[in-house]
Amino acid sequence: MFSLTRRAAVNSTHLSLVTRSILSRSLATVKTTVEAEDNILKEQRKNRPTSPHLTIYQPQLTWYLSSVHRVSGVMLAGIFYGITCAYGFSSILDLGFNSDVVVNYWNELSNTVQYGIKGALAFPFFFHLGNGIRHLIWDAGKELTLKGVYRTGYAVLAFSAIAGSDSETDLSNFKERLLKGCRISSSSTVSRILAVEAEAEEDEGGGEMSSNNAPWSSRIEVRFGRSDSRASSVTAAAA
Amino acid sequence: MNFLRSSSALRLNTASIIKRGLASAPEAKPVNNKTFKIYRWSPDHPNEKPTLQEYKVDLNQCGPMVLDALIKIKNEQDPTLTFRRSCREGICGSCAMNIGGRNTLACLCRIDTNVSSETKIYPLPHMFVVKDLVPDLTHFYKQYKSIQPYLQRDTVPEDGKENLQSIADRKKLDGLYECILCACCSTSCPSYWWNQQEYLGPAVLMQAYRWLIDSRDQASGIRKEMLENSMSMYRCHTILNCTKTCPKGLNPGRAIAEIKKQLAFQ
Repeated sequence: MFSLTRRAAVNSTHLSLVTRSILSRSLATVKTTVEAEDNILKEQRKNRPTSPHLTIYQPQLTWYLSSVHRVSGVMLAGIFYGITCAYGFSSILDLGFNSDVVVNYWNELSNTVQYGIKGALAFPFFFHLGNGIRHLIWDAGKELTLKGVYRTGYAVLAFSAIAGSDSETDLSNFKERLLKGCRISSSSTVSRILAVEAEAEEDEGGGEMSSNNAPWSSRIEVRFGRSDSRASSVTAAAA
Repeated sequence: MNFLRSSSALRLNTASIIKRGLASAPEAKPVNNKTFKIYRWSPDHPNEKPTLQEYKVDLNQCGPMVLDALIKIKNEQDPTLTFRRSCREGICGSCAMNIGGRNTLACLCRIDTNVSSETKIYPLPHMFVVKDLVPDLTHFYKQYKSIQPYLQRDTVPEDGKENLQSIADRKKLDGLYECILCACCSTSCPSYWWNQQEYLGPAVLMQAYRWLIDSRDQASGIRKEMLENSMSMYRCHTILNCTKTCPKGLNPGRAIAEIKKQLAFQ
């Protein structure tokens, strides 16, 4: 009996010790306000570094195309406004900067430099155009899945690669290439075309018409008008 | 007597188990060390610049996920390595970090088993670092609070119990309510990096949309009004890093586009 009560007494002192320590610990907590907490946070933030971001983030089509879009837009706008303003100031202040000067300057450039400048303008322009359309599609709520994002992204890249490299060459050169393509694609009609051409030269009175006077496209139409329908449809597109 | 017999039977059993265990002693797997480079910074030494510390983990003695490797490093190599983790199954969002350059949950990200390349682990990008891989998410949570992420109604339900919703209306919330607010998407967004103070970021905006299209909610007018300014939502430039990185496979980019559409056509 005695031992029992003693054990109880020991237990109770243990308990009271535990409660007391809990109580004293809870009393040690600092009461604070929202503002005080905010101030503590601000003090801490003065020491805290910002974690790395742009330099460590994985290259992804998403944010790479987005940054190219912005950079190309800024670049093209800068050049456009720059040249326009230069024309304006030049005409007001009579500085002698006009389109003749630009054309002359351009013609003096070497071929390589010309191609370089054209490419530097053409590729960003067609990329910006294509990606702008992509943004319009997104704004309509379409192609906003991960699959759609990548599909349209690659489509824009392909478009700007093709359109950009096409505009690298002159338009007349472009027509010649297309004509060459027609001849190769419809090789069975080549002999017929040649025969028709000879006939046409006879009709129009010799070689002078074929060399210079007739407009290029109409001559082709005359030629192809007598050959089969497939070839004529192709040249219609070319014209 | 009965008791004696059963105990001897037990002893026999244990012996046979031990013998079997000894008979099939597993061959020691070869050491397959993978290098992890982990971002370290401690507030105890605030003047020391953050560094990348290298750890080697034997993949044959480690679980398959990056979180397993982190826990192994903390247990066996460096107890000072600090990171958040809790559920280890992609539902708490604690272990969000930047692994191999993209934001994801360490518990859902498999270790790249190619041991010739190292894996770099950073805290979530462009956040204040509390310590090592622990970012300060105070502002992120404040932004979440600011969109009032709870049901708001002017009227009580007719039966006095539940706000009912059709199956079709409930379906609109799929792909939105699953968000665990791990902040992977927000901290992957360059717009959020540059305009964190004012721009709400994809995670919070997706929750804004979740409450906008909830058929039971009646505060959509105020909710839209709160987003009608140049910063809160329109800093989104449809970069879509958010959708790319979401470890839960959700689509915050689409949600933001839908809000923009709602605001444009209202």
